[in-house]
Amino acid sequence: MKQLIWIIGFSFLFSTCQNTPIREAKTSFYYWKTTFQLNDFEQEALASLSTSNLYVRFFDLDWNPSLKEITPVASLVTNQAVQIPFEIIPVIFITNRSFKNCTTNDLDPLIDKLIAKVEKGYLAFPNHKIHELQIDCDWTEQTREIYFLFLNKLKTKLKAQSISLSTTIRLHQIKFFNRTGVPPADRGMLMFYNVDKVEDLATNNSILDLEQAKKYLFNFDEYPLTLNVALPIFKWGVLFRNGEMIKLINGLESAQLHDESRFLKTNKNRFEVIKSTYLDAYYLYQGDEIRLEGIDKNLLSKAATLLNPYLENPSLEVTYYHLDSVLIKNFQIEELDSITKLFSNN
Amino acid sequence: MKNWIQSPSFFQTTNPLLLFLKSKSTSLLSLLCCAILIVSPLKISKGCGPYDTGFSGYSFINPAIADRESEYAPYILDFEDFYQNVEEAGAKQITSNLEEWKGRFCDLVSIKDLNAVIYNSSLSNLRVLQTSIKKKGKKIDIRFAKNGFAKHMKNHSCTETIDYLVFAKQCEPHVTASSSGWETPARDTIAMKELIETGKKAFLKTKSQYIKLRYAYQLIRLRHYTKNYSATIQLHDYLMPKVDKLNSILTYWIMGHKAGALQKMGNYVESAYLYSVIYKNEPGKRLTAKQSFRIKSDEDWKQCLLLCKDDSERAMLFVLRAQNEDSQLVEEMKKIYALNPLNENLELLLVREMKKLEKDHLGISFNNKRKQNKRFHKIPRKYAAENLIALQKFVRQIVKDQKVSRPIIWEIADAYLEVLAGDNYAARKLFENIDMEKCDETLTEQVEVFRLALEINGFQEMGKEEEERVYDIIKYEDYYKDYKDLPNFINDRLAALYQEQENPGLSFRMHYPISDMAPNPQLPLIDDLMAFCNEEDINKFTKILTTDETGKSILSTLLDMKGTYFMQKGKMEAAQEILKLIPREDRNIHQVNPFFRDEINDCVSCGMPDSTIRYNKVELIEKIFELEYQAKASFSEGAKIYYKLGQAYYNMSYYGNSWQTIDFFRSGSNWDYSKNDLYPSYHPFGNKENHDLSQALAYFDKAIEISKDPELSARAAFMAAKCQLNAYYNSKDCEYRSWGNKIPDPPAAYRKYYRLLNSDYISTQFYQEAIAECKFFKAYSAR
Repeated sequence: MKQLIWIIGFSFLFSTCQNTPIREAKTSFYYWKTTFQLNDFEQEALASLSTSNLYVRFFDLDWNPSLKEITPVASLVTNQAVQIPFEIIPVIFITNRSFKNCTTNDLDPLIDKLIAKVEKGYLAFPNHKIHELQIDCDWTEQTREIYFLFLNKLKTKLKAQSISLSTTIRLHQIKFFNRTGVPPADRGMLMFYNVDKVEDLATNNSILDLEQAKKYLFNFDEYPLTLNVALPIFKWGVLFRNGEMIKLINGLESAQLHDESRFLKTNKNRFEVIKSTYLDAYYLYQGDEIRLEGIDKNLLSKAATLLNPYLENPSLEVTYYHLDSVLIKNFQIEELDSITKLFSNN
Repeated sequence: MKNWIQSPSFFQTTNPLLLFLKSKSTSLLSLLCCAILIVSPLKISKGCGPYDTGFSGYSFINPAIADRESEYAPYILDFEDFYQNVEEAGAKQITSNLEEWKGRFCDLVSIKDLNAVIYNSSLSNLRVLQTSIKKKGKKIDIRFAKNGFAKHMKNHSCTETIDYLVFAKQCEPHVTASSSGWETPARDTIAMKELIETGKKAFLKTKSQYIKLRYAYQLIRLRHYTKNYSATIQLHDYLMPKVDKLNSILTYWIMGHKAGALQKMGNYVESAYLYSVIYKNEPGKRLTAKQSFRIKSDEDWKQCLLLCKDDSERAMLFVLRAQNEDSQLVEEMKKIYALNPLNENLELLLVREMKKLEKDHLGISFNNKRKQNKRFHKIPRKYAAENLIALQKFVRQIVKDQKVSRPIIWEIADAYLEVLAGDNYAARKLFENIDMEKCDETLTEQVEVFRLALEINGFQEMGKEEEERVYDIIKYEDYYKDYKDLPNFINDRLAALYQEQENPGLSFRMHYPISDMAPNPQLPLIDDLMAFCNEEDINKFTKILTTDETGKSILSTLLDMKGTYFMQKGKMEAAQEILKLIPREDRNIHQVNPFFRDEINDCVSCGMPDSTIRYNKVELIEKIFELEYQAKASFSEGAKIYYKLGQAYYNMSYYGNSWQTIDFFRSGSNWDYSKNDLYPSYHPFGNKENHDLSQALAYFDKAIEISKDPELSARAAFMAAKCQLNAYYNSKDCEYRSWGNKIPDPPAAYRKYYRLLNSDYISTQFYQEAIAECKFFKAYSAR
């Protein structure tokens, strides 16, 4: 905690020394579950952090080889109308293979259906109006052309309804933006996580490794999109079998691996399965290896301190991925608040 | 049976060579050339072309050796094709349902008529039918007049059946999902509850036990879809005791809804058990059961095992667990075997594991795509050897025990696993011990194919005996056509062996047509192949490797490549010696005149009038020698001739319209990647471009040196300047890109001749012409 205070204090001192415009960073969250239901703790956390926006995953889009078209998957279920005192921003995740398979002729009908489905889903949030729609896609050089065309068309249609378009941006897409291109959106959400190779057994923490991240902190001053930032608060276990990554076990806690008759701790964040067993409804075999990955407050504040100087926009949202009482409980509410404030210049 | 594995690409190729071979019906030649050409090399270029990163290996296991009649096969063998299975499962469910209806009506009605009424009639149509069935004397509605099922219901007053069908149709919108997922299905829970109440009354009133069971299914499903899971279980427990136990698929469909509700309520144990029962007994719901089967903890698993009635049921739990894509199959198979050696899934799991190991091990030492497989697919897997040993150990145990239903399959597997392990001696022994009388047609074929793979794998060298054997395999063996990986397997094995015994040319021919070498001729390969071309007594197989698609010897082609190679290197005497060996009738393929074009701007594709004299390569070299002699001999004409020679060398280079003289393949896109002469492409040795203009420059220099005509000197200086500019493009420090809108800016070292033009020849007429035509030159002269 002391370290955090020092970092915050030093950053504050440093930032006030600069002749930079005043900026107040706001807290937001992603909501990435398939059923929309906020428990009391989550509602309280959102209120305490004066959350401005909740980015809610409405549905995924994936290529359906059987129908030979892009179709929605895992649509959000909202059991009842929800009264929420902050903005709801629908997020649609689109798989890269969708764009590998579709043609430009498919885009207009796809966009029409996408907007209609979002509007229908939005009825679950009465007294709210869509101001922004976010598209999340791990596009590649191969799909860039059609993905950008899709965004252009979507942006035009959304603009007619006064809805802005944002997209997720990966770190490497900023460093190499001359090569990868810049998505034609109104804003970008920089995902400041998943920076290292998760499938590599030697990786220490694929979610956030600041040394790895530093390698990509280039060209922010030239990047044409206004960026908000998404920070990770999630954790997972990376399961290796026969030396190869086979599964991510979301939300895995070290406490679940404390049973020494089944798991042998081999390193700070590594465990070996010494007896075949079920873990979180998945069967592990003797000899499997698990690498626990997660974020603590120190790493998160260091990440914020590292990233802040590169983001010069006058207003900034710090969006935590993702809203889940179990994940948030790993932090004090004030800690998340103070991390957001690291991005403020006032 | 034999055609099950045939590759469509094998005969549907558009390769002109293969089409020609097909038309000629030269079956052997066709087959070998197919074998050679079917393997397209991995692209390594930045340019366009095929870029196949799919796994490339060999498989000789015919999944049909496992019990293909087993209804479990699609779920274990085709587990990767999820969507296909969903469709198949959906179709299977409908078929099973219709067949059951048919059985209930003593096979008196057709599936087609049942389908028309049950699945393809609207609610309003069914109501019309209901009225006509219930009202005596009323004729059956015209829409169903020809439907045997409708007529049967009318004739036998099946009022309970039609009432049920109307009720089921009313339930339909509440329980079916949208086909695409774009529309969210309406789940009107109030309407659903009303339907449940209506249905309950009908259920109690209905006399037919079978129709009662169907009502129970509709009601329980409706309740389940209202997401009130405890109410679903209550309804199940209320309805089911009131129905006689019938042998019906509906029992399992109902069980599925109970299992789903139990799982939602947190009762994973009973839910998993029920799903395993469904998996075992109802093929139509097998996929759903497999996907829904969920065990949360070791304790759940233990309790689930305790719920099983016998070891056969317990074994099925392990079968379900084995179906995770990353399951350790040997470990699960051991458990299944211990509980129920007769479990039919054991064979299917064996085949699945063997196919994985086949990818890891078969031909790994000679597969020419192994780097690609490792990079893109991580095959062979890290513990491939350990996995193989584990399966071998298990298979041997089974062979020893003889407790399974078909030990012969395990004996065959044992032998083939030795092939994969690389112990050809042990494999041979094991195959010899297989009692072929116990093999049916499929197994016999499998053993023969495995033996063939073993034989080819076991070749130690490529001598005459082996070559003749391969010739026979290609010519006479049906499996060569039926097993799509066999040609690749032979090609790769032979290519590796030829390489080992220092026959790089023959090795090359196992994968490529001779024309694939032309973009970058390779002397050792050419010499190797030429040696065989010149041999009088070669066997049939080697003859195929040294002839082209028309059956003609490739010797002239090889000589042309070799001579051209020397021309590229500037060794004109050596080139002449080689090219002269080409029979006269084969010499005139490339006829050019590199002396003809003398223009300020380059034009690679500009042709020549047909009146222009053209030379074949032998004649051209003779002409060059003649001009060189004349240049040295003639004091007055020397400069002109040197200029002409410079032009000829320039035009024969990558930048000239006679580039075909010393090259077989030129790519315009290489301009921008011309830092190296060798441009990586989909050709096996890349595409070598002839950017070197040093010989041309030397002749232009001589022309400048001895010329007394300022116009000629200016021309020579200009051409020399172009040589230098092209050299700059090829230099490492050049940042100029042809697609940009900028003029190249070469450093001083590359501007010697532009400076010379500006200083010494500014008053010539040619200088003014060059300024007018060449923007670059104009820009440089302005500085």
